[in-house]
Amino acid sequence: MRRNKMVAIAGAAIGTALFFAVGLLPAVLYGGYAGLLLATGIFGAPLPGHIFARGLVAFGSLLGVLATSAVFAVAGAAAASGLGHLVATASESGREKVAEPHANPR
Amino acid sequence: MRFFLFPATLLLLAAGAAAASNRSCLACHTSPLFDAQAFAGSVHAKLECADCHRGFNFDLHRAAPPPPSAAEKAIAEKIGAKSTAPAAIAACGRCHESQMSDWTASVHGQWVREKRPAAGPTCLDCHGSAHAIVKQKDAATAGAAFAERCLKCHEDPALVNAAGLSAEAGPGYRDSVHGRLHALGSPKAPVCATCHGAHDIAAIASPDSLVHPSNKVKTCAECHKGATENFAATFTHHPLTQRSRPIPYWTMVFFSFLTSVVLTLLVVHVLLDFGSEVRRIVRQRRGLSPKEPHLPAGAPVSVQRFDRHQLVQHWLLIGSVLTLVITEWPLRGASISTSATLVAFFGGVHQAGVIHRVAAIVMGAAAVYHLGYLTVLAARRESIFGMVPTLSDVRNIYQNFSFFLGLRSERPKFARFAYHEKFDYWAVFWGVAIMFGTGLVRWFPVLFARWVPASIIEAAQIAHGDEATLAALALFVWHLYNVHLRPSVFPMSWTWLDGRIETHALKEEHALEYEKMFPDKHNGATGKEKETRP
Repeated sequence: MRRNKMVAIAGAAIGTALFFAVGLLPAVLYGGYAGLLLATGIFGAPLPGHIFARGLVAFGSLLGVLATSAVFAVAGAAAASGLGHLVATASESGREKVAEPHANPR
Repeated sequence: MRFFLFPATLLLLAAGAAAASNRSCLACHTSPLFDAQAFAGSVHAKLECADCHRGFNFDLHRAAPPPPSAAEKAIAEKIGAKSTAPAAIAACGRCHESQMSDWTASVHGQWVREKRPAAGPTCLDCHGSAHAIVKQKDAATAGAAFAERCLKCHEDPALVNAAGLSAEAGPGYRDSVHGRLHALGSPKAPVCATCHGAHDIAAIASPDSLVHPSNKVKTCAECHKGATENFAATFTHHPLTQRSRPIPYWTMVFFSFLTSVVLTLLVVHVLLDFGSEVRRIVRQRRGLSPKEPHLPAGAPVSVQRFDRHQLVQHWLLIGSVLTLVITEWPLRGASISTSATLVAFFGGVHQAGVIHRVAAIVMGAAAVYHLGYLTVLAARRESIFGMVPTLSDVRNIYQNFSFFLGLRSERPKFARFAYHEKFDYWAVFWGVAIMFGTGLVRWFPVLFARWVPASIIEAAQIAHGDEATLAALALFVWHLYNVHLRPSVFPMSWTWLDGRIETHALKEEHALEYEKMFPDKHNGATGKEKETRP
């Protein structure tokens, strides 16, 4: 597999942009919900208002954002690398065909 | 023929008369007092106003209405305070006799008739205004609408307090799998009336209640064929407490602590590692350290790290875990606004469930493949103990943290698998075992309830969700950072695609493995590798 770092970086950038477009809100909400469940498991329901309980919810939200953005970035890099590999392979095989001597029709 | 024409003509005349009579009323009772348009679209559109509102009949050719019955009078008096037309509400029973009879005997009817701390619900509280009741598209839509009406009262803190009702019914339902399916618009979602009954609803303590301990199994078995007492005991609106259900309670507490502590440690590790990477980059820019470690001439660009079997196992795991996560979270966080959109993407919540189960089977297949692979390696007398934690891992952790904190100038020399990779491996091992085991319990709860106590089934359900949180966040934050997003690797390591690691990365990250592969550093490659440096 061809390793083109620039193509992978471009893919990661597109993945991250896509994350901001469609993934940020769900990531914040699901992460916060995960934090809420953890805090409820530790401090009990209804959740007390102290800093540790609130901090755990915020921590969950932050992890949700980090986790989802990481997935989008790596998936973008992988998709771009795969696409780059396919394009490079196709263009190489095209060049090889052009370079091949034409058979004499007679 | 004439025999049929006569009653048909009478019906037409009656309908015409009703319309004419209603027109008289509607001349004055206009919007906003009365929504004539909504009434015209309602199931009661063909009725005369005076059919319910007796005593207001302007049709001179019609006889005087009969006086209300004693029961109607009693109901009208009781609900007088909360209605502008109590007699009209009490009149519902004239057409809906059987429902009125069921309601009168129900816990709701008793509250209306008897002296209670809060007024009970009448027909309109559940069905809405009689002037705007529309025919629902299907039973599922009707059920969903009714669930919200039940919850409107049973989640109203003022009413719950005044009436001395259980405050747990609403939140308990919303948090249950039934409530989550309802929130995601499932047409099969059981609503309040599915288990508790509708017009004939009885107090839970009453032996007539569908969810009274003597009837609960039968009620559950309506949907869950073969349900047992154990199974029925797994569903309750009551919150988890140490006293009521200790095993599920302590499972929840254990996983909450485990997840919080492990994720905190992993994030601290990531932050420290990131700091050390930034330091390294600064040193490189200042020319204080080389950009890449020195490799001997003729050393290959990359070397094989994983074989084809390992790559396939990893791909199966990636695909299945990602699918499991994105099909699971909308149901877990059903109350979150984006969940409905996400499940719609999968073709609905039940379709998402099918995809989730298929992904679980793929994950199980990957685990079996891996165990088979280890067995074949063992049969070939190849080492399968590379992932076993050793004392040197403990030493490496200490040395690496010293490096993070600037107490040591170099990273420790890692072998083929560093301690964080061993952690990933065993976390997945534990995770797959827990997720697959508890997932089977969630998939076949009725079957497991035949042999396993309700508390274990409930604990398995809790462990499934909580382990999913831990696994997803650990994999996507910690694993993706370590493997792909560290500044020295960013944006991606290609090893997971072609199984090869660049030789300079091998020397940096797995120095002991590098020294083992290239014992004579000055001579460079062993000659086994095909690829060479350009």
